[in-house]
Amino acid sequence: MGYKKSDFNYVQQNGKSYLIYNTLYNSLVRLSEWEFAKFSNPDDSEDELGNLFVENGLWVDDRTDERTKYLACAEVYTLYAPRPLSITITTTLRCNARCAYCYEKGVDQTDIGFSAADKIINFIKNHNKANEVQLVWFGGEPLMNMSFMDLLCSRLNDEEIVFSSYIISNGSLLNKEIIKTKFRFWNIKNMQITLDGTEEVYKSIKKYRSPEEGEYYSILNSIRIAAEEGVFVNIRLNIGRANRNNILELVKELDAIFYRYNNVVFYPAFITGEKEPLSDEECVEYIKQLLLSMKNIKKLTAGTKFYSLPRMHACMNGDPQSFSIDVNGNVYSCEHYVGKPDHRIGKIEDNFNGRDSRGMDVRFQDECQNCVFLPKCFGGCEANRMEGDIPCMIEKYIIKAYLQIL
Amino acid sequence: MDVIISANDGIKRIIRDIVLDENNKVNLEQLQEMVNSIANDKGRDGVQKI
Repeated sequence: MGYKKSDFNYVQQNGKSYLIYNTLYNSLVRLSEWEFAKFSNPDDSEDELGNLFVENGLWVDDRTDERTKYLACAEVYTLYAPRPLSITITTTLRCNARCAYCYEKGVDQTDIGFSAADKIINFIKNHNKANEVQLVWFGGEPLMNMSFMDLLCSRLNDEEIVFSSYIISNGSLLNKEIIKTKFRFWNIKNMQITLDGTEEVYKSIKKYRSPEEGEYYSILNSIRIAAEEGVFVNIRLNIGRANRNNILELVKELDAIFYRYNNVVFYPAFITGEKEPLSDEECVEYIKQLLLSMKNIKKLTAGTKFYSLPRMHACMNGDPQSFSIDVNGNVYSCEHYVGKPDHRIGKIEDNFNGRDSRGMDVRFQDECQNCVFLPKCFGGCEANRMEGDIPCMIEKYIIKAYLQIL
Repeated sequence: MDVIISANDGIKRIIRDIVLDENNKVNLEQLQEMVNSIANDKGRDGVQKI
């Protein structure tokens, strides 16, 4: 049998050694110079080193078209594999913050009406293949319309629909009582809170309409309480050219506070839409600094990125089992567009079964089709691409940065 | 050669063994069986160093 190098080997030279990470099989090896020379020229000799390359997926049968097989598996999984329905619900487009980077600028700031609850129940019944629904509470600031969250969860319970939920919030309206009582009723398992800097920078970016003294520390306290209640918390760090140095300070602060909380992790994201976006090299260098500044690098979910299974679709936009519903009952393939009906794929009363082509015959841009990181991001964020921003996901930067310091 | 993370055997098996039809499509049931084998692939725990 003849061998060739896998399409998914990413090579990082560190001094005289070479790290090879395979983004499809998740193997990671370190090679000396002579081992790398052998790796670079696959042959059919069945010696020990060649066998190790094959065992770790670095060399594959030269008749195997890995990319075609991977994409065929992704398609059949995305189209047919039973899994819970995922629905992102915009409870309101109102928000108490005015972040400069918000992509919802100009949308009509209204709440979802109570009459939408029954329509959402019908939508779930019509589209659910696995008798379980995962809700994502989204906004605006979703907690500005808690009464709708209560109503919908009551209706789900009445209908005996199994559900769990994830909330994307700025955290400013959270308190102990909400976390200890409402979170249980809403069955919140995961939460994303965005922190864009240490206290003063945070306040200057959030520009709350009615800022309150101590708000920043109150949010940190709510994160702690939620974590102690068993909620998995992603602290999203929105990074741009202006706040990147301050985020390093923030991470040191958060690392010290949440060091012992395994269910609190940091999720870095580079802000899009900037006039002078960070280049790929700057992003990798920055993540390196971030990793080096942390006591516990597991907080940056670096390990998770190395072990994650290949993506079957990039995100909800490519998943026919995921929908985003806005305050006016418009349905979108992506939460990025809520409140912008020009981008809707239909209305909540519609039945999408059999007419949703997401996941079918996916085509990539050339740079993604041939990218070694394809299994980690599956083409990345289409909304970013459409707006002229870099679509790549954070995995690429974390993996490259981590390999540079390993 | 220092193996820091060994390959996920389940994924490797899928890519090696899954059969493409003439339209480059695969069969869901065959894939499902293979995915279940990944879920049961517990041998990896001992080699995770990151």
